[in-house]
Amino acid sequence: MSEQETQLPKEPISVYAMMSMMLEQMTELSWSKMGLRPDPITGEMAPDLGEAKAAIDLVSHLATALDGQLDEEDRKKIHSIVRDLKINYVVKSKEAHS
Amino acid sequence: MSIRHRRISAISISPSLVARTIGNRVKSVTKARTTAKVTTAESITARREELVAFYECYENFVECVCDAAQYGPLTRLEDSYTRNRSAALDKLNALGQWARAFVRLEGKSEEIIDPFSELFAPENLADFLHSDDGLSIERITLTREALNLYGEHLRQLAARIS
Repeated sequence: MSEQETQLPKEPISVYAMMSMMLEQMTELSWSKMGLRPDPITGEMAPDLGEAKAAIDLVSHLATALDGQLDEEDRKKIHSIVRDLKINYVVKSKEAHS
Repeated sequence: MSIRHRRISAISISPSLVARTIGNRVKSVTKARTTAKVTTAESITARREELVAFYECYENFVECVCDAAQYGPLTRLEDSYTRNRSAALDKLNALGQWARAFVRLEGKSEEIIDPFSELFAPENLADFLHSDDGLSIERITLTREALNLYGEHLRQLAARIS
């Protein structure tokens, strides 16, 4: 084992920290699947509203699960993110159906 | 003593009295400005609190409507719609005159005249979905933008006074 690895603090993994990371990643993916940002892997636009809906639903569930762990400012930020995603999803859905 | 000198003597005021009078005037002007400043600061704080309170029920209302667009008028969404619409309308009475000043209708659909009133017009969620003329999202965008601009305006006012 390298010297650096032995110096890293060993703490149990936090579920809430993982959920925060997942929320960030799924938020980015939501924007990408709505066709509002390029795909993080290919760098190209690859909209898929079905996957966008799944990603947004997951972001919403994660936000609810994290609610009790956040201070007021972070709670408002995350709720604002969820609402932005939902509003944009409705816009994109209407565009797709029109 | 000439008449001119007598007139000047007659109307002369002692220097100490002059100083006290000017001093009083300066004090009263300063006090008036401070009172006005405090009153203005209190009024801005009150308006910011009104905006924060309105924004919370407004955002809950918007989220409810967006969820309903996907899932329909579920019972829990209908309850949320009623609750948040009622709270928002109550707060809009005080806030509306300020927030409406920041609505930017240029380049938007001509059918939209007062996006705040139009957004909250349907009495229940089922009516909202049924009566949707395709402009709900535009009304949401307009009202959100107006609220953000109004909030920024109050922040700048507060910064100028402090």
